Amino acid sequence: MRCLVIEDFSPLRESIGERLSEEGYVVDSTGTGDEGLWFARNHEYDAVVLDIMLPRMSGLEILGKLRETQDRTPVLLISARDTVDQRVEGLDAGADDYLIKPFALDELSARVRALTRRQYNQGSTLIRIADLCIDTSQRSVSRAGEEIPLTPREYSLLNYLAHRAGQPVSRKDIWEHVYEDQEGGTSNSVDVYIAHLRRKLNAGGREDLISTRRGYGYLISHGA
Amino acid sequence: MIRHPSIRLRLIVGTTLLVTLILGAGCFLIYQRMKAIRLADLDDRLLDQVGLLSKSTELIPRRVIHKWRETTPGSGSPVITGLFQFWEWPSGTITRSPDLGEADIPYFHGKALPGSETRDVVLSDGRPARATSLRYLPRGSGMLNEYRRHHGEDSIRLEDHPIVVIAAIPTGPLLDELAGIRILLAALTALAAVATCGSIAVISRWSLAPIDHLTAELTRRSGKTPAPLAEIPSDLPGELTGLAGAFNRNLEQLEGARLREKRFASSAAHELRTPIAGIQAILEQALHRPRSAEDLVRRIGKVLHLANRTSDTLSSLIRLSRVRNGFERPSSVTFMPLDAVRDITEGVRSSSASSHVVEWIITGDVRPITTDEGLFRILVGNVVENAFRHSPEGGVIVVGVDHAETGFLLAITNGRGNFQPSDAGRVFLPFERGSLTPSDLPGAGLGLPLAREISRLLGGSLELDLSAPETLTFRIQLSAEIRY
Repeated sequence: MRCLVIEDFSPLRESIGERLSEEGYVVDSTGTGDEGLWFARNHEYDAVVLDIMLPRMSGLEILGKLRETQDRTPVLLISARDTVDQRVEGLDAGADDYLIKPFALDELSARVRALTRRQYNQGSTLIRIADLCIDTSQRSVSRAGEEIPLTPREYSLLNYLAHRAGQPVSRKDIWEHVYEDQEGGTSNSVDVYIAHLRRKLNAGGREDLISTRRGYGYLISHGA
Repeated sequence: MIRHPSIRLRLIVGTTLLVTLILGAGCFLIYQRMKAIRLADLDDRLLDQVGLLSKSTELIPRRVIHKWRETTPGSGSPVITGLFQFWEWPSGTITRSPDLGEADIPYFHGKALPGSETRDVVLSDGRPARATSLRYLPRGSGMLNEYRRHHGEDSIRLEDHPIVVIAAIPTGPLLDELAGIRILLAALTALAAVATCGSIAVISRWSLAPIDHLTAELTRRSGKTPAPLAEIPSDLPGELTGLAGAFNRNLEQLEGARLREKRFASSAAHELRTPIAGIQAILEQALHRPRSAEDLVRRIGKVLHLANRTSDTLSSLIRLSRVRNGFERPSSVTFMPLDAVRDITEGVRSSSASSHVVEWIITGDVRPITTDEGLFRILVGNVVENAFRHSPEGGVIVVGVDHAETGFLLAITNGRGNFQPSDAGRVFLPFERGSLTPSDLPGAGLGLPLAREISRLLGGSLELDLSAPETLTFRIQLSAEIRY
């Protein structure tokens, strides 16, 4: 999953970015509104964490410009503005959630997870595909009750495919949403990580839940 | 005491009462006058009548005769008609006029001869009348007593034979007419009262309706943010346009102040809560996973730095609040301002480890000043720090010191860097920073606002001068001596 963090206070921005990275998100971050808007318009994100009081262009302005172009990327507003009117203003401007500073990073990451679940119509923190179970709150994967240890990158890849279960996902999408370094990488890297993932998930002769769409990408589903 | 008395009600009740009283009193006086005139006319007629009747009475040797009985039309004597009645004394003979018939006029007479008295009476047949009574002595011929003496009778004296004549005129029609006039005048007064009441109600409602519109407009706009000023209705009475205009102006100022306060509160929340959020996030991350000692030291260092910054922001905010709200009590100490300025400038330069070059321009004989030295140092310190922080690295900062008749003058000049002329209006507003100021630059935007408030508290001023194209200058002016 890929996240954008727009927050001008660098210590906070860095901490949020670090936490989301540790949870497997690919994180882009910036301290200015105009740069943040550029990022949001030119990349696909699964969630945006957006501060309201930014220099030169406020978070609400950025949100307004995104929504004007029908951009439905989930946005979590973070702000010290805590009155009811201000919260209502933020939500009515198109935000999907509103978090008041100071906040616990645990709560912020839980809210980002909730936004991404909603983005992919996942109603629960548990994603089940056949006998595969992914607990997104614990970042754990099991199959037929047996836990399968995955590296952070493997988990991110599986998590992304699972959120789009039943839909073919292009290599390009996988690359943009799972890989941090978009420059210098190739789609072969995706193929390599898919192979690693398959090996771990299918160990013991289990059904292969990941199917290949030649020339396009991959799909995860029961009876793939 | 009635709360919020209605102007309209006061106008209606007061004016109606006043008009009713005045008109009522006038009608009453007119009525009384009319009645008096009619009655006077009546009385004159009655007096003439009794006068004529009295002259037609003669005492003859053995009785009184009334010559009116012998008056016929065309005889040249006045024909006397009407209601009248004679009482003859001592005989007690009563003579009635033919028109009186069997009715009686109530008997009364005046006190002295000759004397008339007029009264309202009720005839024996129940009719109301006005009657004049005259007591007089009959005429007597000179031959009267000679005749009586000739016939062996005693002489008689006229004084022994007084006669009372009462003439009356029925006043029924007059009273009916007067009653009609009374009713008419009363109706007129009532109509005038109703018309007054109604016209005031209508006119006042019509005149004051624009106030209702203005009120509704103001109520409607109170729910909008931002909201333009309520338009003064063109049909608002002229007497109220001044008040409405003043109200609008005050409202604009109040709303401007309220917006500034709201903005101040939002900015304060942001400037305090964001560093705290940063501190919390750093500490949470430090504990989230096993970290190396070096990593932990780095994180703790960041937290300490943020804590110091937040503490400085809080101190400035509290000081600003105290100065603004009059809780800061300056002291009076005499000291050399030039020494303080040098001390502060050198301190800021060394603590910021900047590469700025400081040039000094000292003119005039800089003398000691008497003011609060602590506040003076904060004032100068904030302006000097601002120059070091926001001017280009390696640039020149010119510190100009002068002591004129107006007092102590300090001018800090530096390169504009990211400063935009459009920022000039905001530079002294709390939490406002230059539009191109990097967001991670230290400072919460309180230094210059606090400096200005302190300068005013010390009886001076702090202004920004942008007259030179490439530089900006902050000028501090303080009186030589302020005693508190």
